[in-house]
Amino acid sequence: MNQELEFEEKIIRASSKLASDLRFIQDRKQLALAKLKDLKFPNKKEEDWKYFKFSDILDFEDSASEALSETEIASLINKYVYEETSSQLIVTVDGNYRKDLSNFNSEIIVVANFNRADELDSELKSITEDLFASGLEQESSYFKTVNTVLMDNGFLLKIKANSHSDKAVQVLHISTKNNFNQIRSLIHAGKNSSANLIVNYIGVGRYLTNAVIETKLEAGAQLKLNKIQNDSHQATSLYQLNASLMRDSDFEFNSFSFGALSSRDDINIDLREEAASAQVNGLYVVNQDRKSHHKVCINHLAAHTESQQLFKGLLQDQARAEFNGLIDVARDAQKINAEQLNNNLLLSKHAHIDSRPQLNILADDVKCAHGSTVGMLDPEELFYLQSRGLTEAEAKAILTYSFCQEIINKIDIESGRNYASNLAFSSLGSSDNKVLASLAGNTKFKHSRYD
Amino acid sequence: MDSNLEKLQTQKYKYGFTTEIEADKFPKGLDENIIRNISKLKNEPEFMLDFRLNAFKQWQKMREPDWALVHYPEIDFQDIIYYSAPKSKMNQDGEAKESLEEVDPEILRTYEKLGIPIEEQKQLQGIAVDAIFDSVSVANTHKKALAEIGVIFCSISEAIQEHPELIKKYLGTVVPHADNFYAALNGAVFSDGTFIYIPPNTKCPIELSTNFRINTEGSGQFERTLILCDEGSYVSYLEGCTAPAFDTNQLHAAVVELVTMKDAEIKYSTVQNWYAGDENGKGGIYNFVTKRGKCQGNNSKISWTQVETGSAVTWKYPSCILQGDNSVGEFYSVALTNNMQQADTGTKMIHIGKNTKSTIVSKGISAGKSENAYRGLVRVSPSADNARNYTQCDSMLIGSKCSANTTPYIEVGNNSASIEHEASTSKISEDQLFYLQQRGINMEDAISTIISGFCKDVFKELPGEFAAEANALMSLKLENTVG
Repeated sequence: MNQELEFEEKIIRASSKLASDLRFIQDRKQLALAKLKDLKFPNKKEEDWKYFKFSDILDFEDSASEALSETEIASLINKYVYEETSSQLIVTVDGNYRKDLSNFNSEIIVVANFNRADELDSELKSITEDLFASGLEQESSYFKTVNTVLMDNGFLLKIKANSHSDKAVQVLHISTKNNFNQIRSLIHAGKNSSANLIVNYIGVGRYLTNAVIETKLEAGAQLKLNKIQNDSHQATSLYQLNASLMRDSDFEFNSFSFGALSSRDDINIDLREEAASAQVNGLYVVNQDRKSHHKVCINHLAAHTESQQLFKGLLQDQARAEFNGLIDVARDAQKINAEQLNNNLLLSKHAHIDSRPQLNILADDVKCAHGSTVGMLDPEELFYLQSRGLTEAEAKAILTYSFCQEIINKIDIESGRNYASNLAFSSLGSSDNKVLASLAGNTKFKHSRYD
Repeated sequence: MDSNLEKLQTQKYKYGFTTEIEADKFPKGLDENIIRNISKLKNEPEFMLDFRLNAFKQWQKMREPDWALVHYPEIDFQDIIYYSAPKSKMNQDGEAKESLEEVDPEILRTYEKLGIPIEEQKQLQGIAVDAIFDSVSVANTHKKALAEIGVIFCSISEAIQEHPELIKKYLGTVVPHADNFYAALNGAVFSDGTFIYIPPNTKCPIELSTNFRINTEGSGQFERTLILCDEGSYVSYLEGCTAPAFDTNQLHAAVVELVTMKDAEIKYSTVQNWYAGDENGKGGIYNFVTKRGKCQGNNSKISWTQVETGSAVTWKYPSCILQGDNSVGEFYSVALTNNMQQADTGTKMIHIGKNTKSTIVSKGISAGKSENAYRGLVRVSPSADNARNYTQCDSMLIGSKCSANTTPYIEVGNNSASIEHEASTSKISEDQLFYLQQRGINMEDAISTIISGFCKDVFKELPGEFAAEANALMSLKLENTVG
């Protein structure tokens, strides 16, 4: 118990150093600090944290952070920026929005530091206020509250109403060694707008990340958000995404988890008005003794809303993963269509998966279905490929590759897809990508800079 | 159809009558003395008293579970009568009746009303019945015929007296005395129940069954059932439950333990029709039951079939521990809730042995303002190579004020396991109703046809006449709930 108290005291101490020039953010922080004293540090007895190893968070000590030099940061950016998005790039370092490193030139999308009064006009100010106050802020998530207390200079991304951006925007979050990062991003999709974002999380050394994305889709907006988590294998990272979907809006969220010693994604989607729809997909690939946790909660709050979930997992060595998905249909939210599927492939004997696909339904005129499967590579499929002259390693690589592709193909820029494909294999610690590359004779697998 | 939907009505509970009979009961409340008295009254050996006191000690340290999706006012455990027995019975020192002539005619009439003839001339061919009335077993049929082939079928109090070695060896091995809050309570105060032992290589020629009846207002029923099936044997066991309609809630906290040895099989079927309370949720039974079977030997099999239609609140997870290699666990369930009923039910399949298989088929139907939840666990231990599970749980909602929840837990620690889980939620499809109606079938029958089709996978697992009874029960319970 002492460790939990120490953790809390550390946060309270750190909070005294932070101040914002914006009144409402200051108020939020005060409220969150007060709430933190009521909230208890989560424990294993809570259903949502049942499978989580808390020492991964509590044993972290944020000794004096060894900040990366500007040249190191520049080389990281250079390594991770996609060709297609080099002119649409937003960078944060340890949670702070770095305007100087971002390369942004757009009529359609506005980016600002939400903690700087001079960067916000009255409209941006009210959007910020709205996104801080909306929906899930009031709920009792411990780590989101911590984030609110400690966050500093995050960014607000506004997609102008009725605008259509055909170029993807890349967001690159860099975490540095020994730091306890609070990353807060606000994304606002204006009425009838459409946009496509790829958010990358990377880092160096051992660190603890606590990131929150707060997003709202106004009526008729379409937003595609790909999150690619490639944290350092010594890091622990906690992510929360909260999305509010208004009438006729369409949200696609693809969550890729490749890195981190232990990562947890907490995804909450509120379908607030009629005809809103959400597609939430995920791919988690873990090896050694690393862990990946996903908690997905789709709240159908209005009639005629739709949601689909597809989460796939690849587990090797002693890795553990958890999928905890919930479809929640509110009373009178009739004519709902909701689906949820979780497929897991265990590649070695000691890998462990905990899957909990849940339905919670209070309306009668609905169609909801869910499924979950766990298994290993099908011996018959392996045999078939080998009978066609492939080696066992090649056959395995092809089957694993195709298992992942269903999700990876949802990324619509090519270098993003290649990046994810390479990560999927390197996260398994295998050289299968080379096997595949030699097999296909295809340049697709030869992006040596990601190896 | 909508106007009909609003016309929610309840079929009056057929078994809600009370039997006027003098009962010996302990004062309300629970302390060590009550437990010592129960044990003394039953003339139990020392090890039983120790078992009870240990359970009681643990129970005092435990908290009521709160994770289930059920809501009910806090139970005052000091406001319950922990022992109640028909008076005439007591004169016999707790011994079971040698002949049915000694059984109070009033009780016999009760069972007759319930449709369970226990008088010898009326006994059903092929079914042996143990009748449990409040806290004690009042009648037991076909005992002699069974004894001839070595089958022991008696009340658990009798077994404690006559077969203490079996009780000592197996009681609490599947559900330990401190397994959970209600199991610990049961361990401390259980008064009777059924004991079955099937000797090696014996296929029990008839179905064995127990009928449970709670009669005294304010009393709780705590029975304990232990079924042992030795190597190469088979038994099919049925259980039926009813209670009078009282305005107050009554607690039923039973424990059932099954053990199968090598190549043995137990088939356990339940038709639970405790009083469910009235349409406003007043009264009814709190059914908090722990049922668990252990497939101890290789190639053994345990199959649970349950039709849950009664009780105000049900909290029940019949489970299988698949310890022996190649053992098989099955769970077939239909849970129907109507009015204000709440059910949180499901199963646990714990795969430990190699090549173990389990099948779960759960059908939930919720109507009225009821809440129906499936909660299940499939766990594959690292030792369980080639484990196989198939789970299907479907829910059907009737009316817009009820709810259906599905909370499966799948924990897999061995990659050779193959696990599939499927679930769906829907309402009775308008198309199906329309199709049946345009073939000249009226609405009521059309619904009943669809429901019985929905439940078919489970009903076909029930022994002969139980299946027909279950079907009739379903239509009865759902009468006038839809369209």
